Amino acid sequence: MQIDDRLVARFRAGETQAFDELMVIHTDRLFALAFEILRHREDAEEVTQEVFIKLYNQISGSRPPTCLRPWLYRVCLNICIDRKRSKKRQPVFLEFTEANGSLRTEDASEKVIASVFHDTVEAALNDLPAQQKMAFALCHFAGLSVDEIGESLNCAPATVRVHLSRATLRLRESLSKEKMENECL
Amino acid sequence: MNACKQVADIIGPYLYEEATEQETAMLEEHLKSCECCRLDIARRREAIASLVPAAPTAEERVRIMRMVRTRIASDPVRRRASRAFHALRWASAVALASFLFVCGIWIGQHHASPRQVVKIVKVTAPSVREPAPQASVPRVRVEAPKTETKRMHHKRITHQQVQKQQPLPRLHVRPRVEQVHEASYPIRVVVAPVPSGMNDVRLAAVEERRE
Repeated sequence: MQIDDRLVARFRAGETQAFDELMVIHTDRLFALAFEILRHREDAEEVTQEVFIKLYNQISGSRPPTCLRPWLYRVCLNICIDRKRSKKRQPVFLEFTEANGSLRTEDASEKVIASVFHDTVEAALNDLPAQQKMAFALCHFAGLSVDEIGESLNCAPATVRVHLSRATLRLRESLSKEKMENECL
Repeated sequence: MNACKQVADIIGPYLYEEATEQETAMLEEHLKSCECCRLDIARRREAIASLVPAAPTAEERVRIMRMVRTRIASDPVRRRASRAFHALRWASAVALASFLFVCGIWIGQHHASPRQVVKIVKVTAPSVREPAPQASVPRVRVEAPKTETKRMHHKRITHQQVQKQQPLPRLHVRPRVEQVHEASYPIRVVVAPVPSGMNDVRLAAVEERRE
């Protein structure tokens, strides 16, 4: 967070290069978060651009955000939610392509199994209550701390901890259930 | 079992290294003796490990940054306000407010003038009968004075204070003479001479009934 504050201060002092550095730092995580919600690469790219435009306007104005990271990822969530509502696009749980970057294993059979589990876990993630899903997404995909998530979602850190615990529990249960079904088959 | 419930809400932050030292110590102490929780944590790690964040390709990164720069540069309406610009704007607003304040004070001091008080005596019911007035006595409409309001009281006090401070030039006030509307009785008004140094015009009204 200190790096972000220094870059914002440099930008407001007139150094435009600082904004490019901010973009380099946050592009990957914003894209990951947007993709997780929208499940579409082009949409995730556009959302990332929108977030940076809003960031530029905000830090150029008279009231830059005091804590940049919670604000930034909260804006990303809001844009994604609005976009999803307007387009009503159904989420694609898995795009089985190398460019997706969602699979780790290289063996073909294990890839298939992994894709099934991934599909199951993704489905469980989509079934989470909204607050739990956002808290988990901000933690897992955006890499925010508990305090930052609380600031972003406007809730207490203790509530964020509970959300994380319950979200991971549900994901574990869905994975266990899938494994049991595969074993039975 | 109670111990498992106590650590249930700690597991999520623990998996992401967000638990406090005290919570971490408590959980690890519990894991030493609880096989169930150890298995639970292992499966949770496996589940979240399968969710690898999607990363943009190099082309996507370049495209994102290029589009952002293009949109910022091409928007003619958006002001690239810097801190200096906002500081200048606030300074201008403060300067303008100060200037208007000083102007207001200056106008208030230089355009205030003493007021003339014309006291009019109320015309009461005709109870005093006097001989008919002479034809040359001017007739002046006498109106019942209004109830003195706070503002009028303040004006009167202010005027008295001004009088005390400096002698005002003598003013010749000619009473306005106009046709008195038909009344049940004639009204005679005597205009008293204005003493020197005073600018009050005192009017004494005398009534008489029609005989």
